[in-house]
Amino acid sequence: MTDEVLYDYWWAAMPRANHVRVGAIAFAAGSTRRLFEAGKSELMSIEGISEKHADDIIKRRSGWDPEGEYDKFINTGARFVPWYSDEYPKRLKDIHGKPFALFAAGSLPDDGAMSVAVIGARNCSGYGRMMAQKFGSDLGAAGISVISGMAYGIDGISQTAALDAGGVSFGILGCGVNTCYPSSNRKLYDRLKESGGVISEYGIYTEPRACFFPARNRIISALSDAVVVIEARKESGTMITVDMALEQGREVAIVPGRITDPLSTGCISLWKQGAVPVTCAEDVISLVKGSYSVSENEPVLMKVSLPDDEKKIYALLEPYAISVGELSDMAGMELRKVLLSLVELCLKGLAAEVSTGHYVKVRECLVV
Amino acid sequence: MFSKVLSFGIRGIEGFCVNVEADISDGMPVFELVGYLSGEVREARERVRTALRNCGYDFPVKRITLNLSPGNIRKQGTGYDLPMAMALLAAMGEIEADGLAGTMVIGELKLNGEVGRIDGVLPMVICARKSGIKRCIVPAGNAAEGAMVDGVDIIAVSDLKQAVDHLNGTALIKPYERKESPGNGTGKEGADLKYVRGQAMARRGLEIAACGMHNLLMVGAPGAGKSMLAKCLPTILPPLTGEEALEVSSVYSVAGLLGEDSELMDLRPFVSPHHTVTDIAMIGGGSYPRPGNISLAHRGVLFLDEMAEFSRYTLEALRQPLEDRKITINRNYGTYVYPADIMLVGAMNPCPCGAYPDIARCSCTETSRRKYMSRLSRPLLDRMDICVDVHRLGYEDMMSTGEAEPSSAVRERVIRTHRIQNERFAGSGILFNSQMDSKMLGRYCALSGEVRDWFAGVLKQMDISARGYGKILKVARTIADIDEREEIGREHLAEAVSFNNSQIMG
Repeated sequence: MTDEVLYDYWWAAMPRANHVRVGAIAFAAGSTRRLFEAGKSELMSIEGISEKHADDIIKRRSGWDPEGEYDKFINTGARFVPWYSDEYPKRLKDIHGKPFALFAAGSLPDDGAMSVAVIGARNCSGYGRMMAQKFGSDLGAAGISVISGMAYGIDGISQTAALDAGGVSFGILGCGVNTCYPSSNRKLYDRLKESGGVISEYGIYTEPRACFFPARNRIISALSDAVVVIEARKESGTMITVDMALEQGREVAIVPGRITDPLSTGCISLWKQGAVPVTCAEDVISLVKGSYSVSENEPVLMKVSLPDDEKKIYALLEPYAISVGELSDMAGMELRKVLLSLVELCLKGLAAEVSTGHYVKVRECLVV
Repeated sequence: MFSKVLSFGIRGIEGFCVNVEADISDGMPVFELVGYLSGEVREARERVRTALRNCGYDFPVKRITLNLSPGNIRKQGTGYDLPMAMALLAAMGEIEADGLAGTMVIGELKLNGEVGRIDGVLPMVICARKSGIKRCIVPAGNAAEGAMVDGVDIIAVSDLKQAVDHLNGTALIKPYERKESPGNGTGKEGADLKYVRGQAMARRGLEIAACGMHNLLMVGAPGAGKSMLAKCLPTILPPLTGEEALEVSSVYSVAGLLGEDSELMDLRPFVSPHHTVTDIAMIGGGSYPRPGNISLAHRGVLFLDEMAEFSRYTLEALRQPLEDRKITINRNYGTYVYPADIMLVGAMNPCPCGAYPDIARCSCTETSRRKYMSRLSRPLLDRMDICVDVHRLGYEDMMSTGEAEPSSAVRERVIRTHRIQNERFAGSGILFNSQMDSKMLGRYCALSGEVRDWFAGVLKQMDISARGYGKILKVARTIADIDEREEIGREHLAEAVSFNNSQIMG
């Protein structure tokens, strides 16, 4: 280990609002050690450093013990992967604004293996949930790394499904890797560290900030060979990731939804602009391999047999939340029978309660 | 000369006996008041002196001492004016001492000798009856509430002179007669479940909550009818028993909320404070303690509309009284206990905009939704056994003209279920399923093998915690009681699971 890494660590972990230019400035300076040691006027002579920025650097390095801080970091078990490291993902090397360094808990995506980002709305519908589960699970089972942002909704669901299918997945965070955000995804966060990893370009204790997320999205797209979009509104963070993916030359695929659906607006508009519609993991794989053709495969549905009451209720369930009262009216069934059927359907993994008294279908099956 | 008049004070919602003693003796002309008195009691000196003079009595130019005993309990309020004046008149020889024996006197004096209304007369009269007193002289404005108590003659006076003449036997006042109320206990406010259209889930939740006295949380869009449903609760709960009615009326008497011609309250109270209410107004207190909203809802319903908008501090303050069913307030001059046996009913939107889970209309982010929900702390949510969704009505429901099942029919089931629980818990110190502890859960909510295995699967699938498990069992017990079934079955558990609030706690 050379001394340089101590200063690289300081430079990478330094809190700031915009990390995209961290690398550019370090390259302009020649070495991070120079940044640590230079006086104010010398700092300001380096390209990209304003007076305010120079003051900030001076403030941040005062009282910083490079060796001690680095040791402290190493003891946390997290990993520091600067751009010149052998472990640094090759996919990141040629992108614009490549991260100066990554922090990781767990491992980093294998350069040789295919990786696919599955992204979409946080506030997704039951349909989105079904699709995220399906794609996450199928890609995971096929040995493809599933990359995503560990957010609520599509991100988290697809990653959980990939892990459930025995695959690997990587969560790219908009905060330090020692912070679990959102905190309710704690279970997923812990599992990712075991089978895959959580990755971030921010110092490990950095708290999430809104401005970090768009920049984090460029890493999601860059680490993936293709980006699959499931449910996205036209104005959303998902669309930022797609823009980044196009800029970086990654394939963009969409999972079609209904055209009347507000959660489909993003996907439909991408489709019109030339994104590829996919209906199964094989479509995505062939897209990445460059042999994409319209697959003839009909989706295969699992067959289940249900008692009459449950059959009736299942047929009425939709990807969108429907209240128990409405179900009871539509089915012409007594409330308590409806409730019993719903609990049974939830138990079978076919339905879920998304809000008090509101249920969605979470799995499409052929009822026999 | 010495004389003594019996009066009463209020502590919490209980009365206590106060002897007003007067002594007139030779010496420097002073008028001394003693007996651990608060400011307003001291001011009685001027009111009594002036009122006596204005009623035509010569105020003695002698040494006058008035003592309110016991001397170690703080006396508050203006009710001691009249007994002080009577004691003084008796010491002056204007009233025959025989007439005062066994008579309780209470009331505020005005400078012209008129007697004004005071707060808390009902608990005083209740206490008087307990002490074996047969006659109470009270202000005319308080006569109706005094007369709620059987076995005590209420002599209503509107000025000092009347009281004196009555006691001297020169102009007797007939005891006040209670106006009998129809007392059917329903529909006073016009709320009735028969006017509630649709809302099958909410109706059922309301009924189960009333049957087991479970706290209830209603989640639904603005304007969906949460308040209307909540207002129906008193109409499906059993009417107050005689004892309960006196208790509830006492709280209102102390709070000064009983009107002049009030009748004994027979409908359970429904208290709905605004969400800007302070914690003191909610649980009671103040330097001169008064019952708060939670005590005003005693034996009835405390309804918190827009529950997420209440200050966290106010909501958390509810937790302890929800457990203890009473509020204890300590002040340096005494400890006050107010009853607070309530059913807590909350209403809130499912998200800041109110449209969730209609994703097409809801403009909230997942984070803002969770943040909104987290305004209710987990310990508080843990005390809400039942959670129901109240959704906006479809046009068909709105236009329908038929009437749904009326409150009176639901109330019959509620009363029957209460009886089943009362028998089950006889002698165990609790009355309702919602009050069971974990030991009782094991005893009264045992599941048979097959049902237990099935339930374990449900708990696992729905990721329900140990706390949630207990709540579901209690509610399932109530549902089985409604069905008059000894054994808790799958359908009871399934229903209880559906009324669980784990979704909110997510």
